[in-house]
Amino acid sequence: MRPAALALPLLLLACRRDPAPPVAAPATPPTVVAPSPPSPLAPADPRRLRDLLRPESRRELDAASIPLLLPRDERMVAVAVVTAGPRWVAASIPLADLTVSIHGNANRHDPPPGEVLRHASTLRGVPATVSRNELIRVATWEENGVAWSLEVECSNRPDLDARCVQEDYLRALAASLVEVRP
Amino acid sequence: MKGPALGLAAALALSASPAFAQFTYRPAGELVSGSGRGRPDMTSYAPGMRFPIESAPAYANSQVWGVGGNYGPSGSQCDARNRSYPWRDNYCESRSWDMPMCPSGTGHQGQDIRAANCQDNVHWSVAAATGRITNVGSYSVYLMTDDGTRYDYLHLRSVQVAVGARVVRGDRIGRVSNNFGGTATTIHLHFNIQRAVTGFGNVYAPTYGALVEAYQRLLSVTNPTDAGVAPRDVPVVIDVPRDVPRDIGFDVARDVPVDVARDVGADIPARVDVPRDVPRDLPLDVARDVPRDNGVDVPAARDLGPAPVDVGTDTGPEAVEDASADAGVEAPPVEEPGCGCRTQPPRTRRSGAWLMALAALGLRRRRGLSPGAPSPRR
Repeated sequence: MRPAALALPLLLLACRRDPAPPVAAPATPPTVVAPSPPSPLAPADPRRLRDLLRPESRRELDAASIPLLLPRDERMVAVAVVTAGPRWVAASIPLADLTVSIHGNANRHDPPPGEVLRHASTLRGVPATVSRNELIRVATWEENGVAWSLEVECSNRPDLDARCVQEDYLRALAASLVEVRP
Repeated sequence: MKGPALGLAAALALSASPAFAQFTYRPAGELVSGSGRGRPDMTSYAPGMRFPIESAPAYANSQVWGVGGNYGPSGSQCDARNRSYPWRDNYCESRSWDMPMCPSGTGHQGQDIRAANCQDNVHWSVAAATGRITNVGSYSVYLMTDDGTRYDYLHLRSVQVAVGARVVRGDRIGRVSNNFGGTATTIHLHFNIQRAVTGFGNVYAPTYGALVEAYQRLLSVTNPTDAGVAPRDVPVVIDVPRDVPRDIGFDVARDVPVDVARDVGADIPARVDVPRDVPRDLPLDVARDVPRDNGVDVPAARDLGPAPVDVGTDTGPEAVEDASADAGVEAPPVEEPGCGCRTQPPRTRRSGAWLMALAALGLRRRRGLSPGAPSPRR
């Protein structure tokens, strides 16, 4: 066999690749895997976050009387469902195996008479309580005259999911919240 | 039999019904012995709220320290002791997580409530107040009212609401279940009341006082004596199209017919049919225009104001079957289909059947029907 004739099969062999897997059209909208909360130092543009909201959520936010805290992660903001009441605002963020909810409430009441409620922790530089409610990771604090709650609910075995067993995920998420104004 | 005699019999039977058994409750803060330090606070932090389970009876008590619970007496969660009065507070029951409102600084944030029986995914939880759904997780639903009170419903299945939905007091939220994201729990509703407190943030407020009040209201409107309504002297069916428009401003009245029927028990030959699938945008007139006067005196329905009530009669076998659902406990436990647990079957309602027959006879005579004629049904 002549060298040229031998080179051609070798060249073809060298270029051989596995066939690309067939690309199937997604039957359902892509789910969002709960992303790691970005660093609180990551830049965030509140106006851009507002614009990323779905139109109905944007309308809710625009009708709200108080600003909303939203995660810096744009993938979370894009799926957030915002609701607002006379003096409160909330966001529910459904992710693949996790639901994040944020509630801001300016309808504040006096503490029970003679009672001083104390936080045992800090978040966002202010006193806060980090706890669990039926395995839902919860945090609450007051910021700019608004009582805030941040909750992380794990869909699958919350007793084993580190994001609900440990505080780290919730803390990082709280640190990443950005005030988005109507 | 004359009407008054039947009425007396019905009243006696009503008083023996388990649903009308004397509701009693332990004081707020009195937890099961050894289950932690409670908060003796009977304040209603949600005055006027609707009881969050659609029908009585319901039982507030501990899941963990109840029969079949991790720290409770051995047995099944379906044990009759778990569904008996008195109620017991379990707010601040021992938990490892922070709860600033609890005397120990840690504890359970809400109240556990069992429905009438331990069937899974059957009993409806309902909106405690008018408001909006702000979050639906895999096992949680949050409802926020205009005044900033948040009601949390946990462990439901068959959730009927979506985030953003506006709900009216009494609207169905989901069914009581043991949904816990694959983690084991009993069939119950975990119910929280959350409010904002100046200088702190949001707190899980004590729930017990508000629940006791709401339950008493539920019972008072279902108990003819308390409601000032004479016992019915004929068998009736009260059809209540629940899903007609509700923003018509009479929440109390709306709750009444349903609960009357559900809690009456088997000894009263009466029933409320609750059409579940009536479209929500059904014009109110449709319900109101249903003929009401069919010769049957139904004070329980008529005295409730302009609620969409369809009054009919039924002495057929379905009425007896349905009415026996709240029967008491006599027979040995049996495996309950669809429940996955053991429970007590309904006791035989001989007296109920006897009353039914008498009542049917009375009605047919009154309406000129022969005893063998088929029951008129709508």
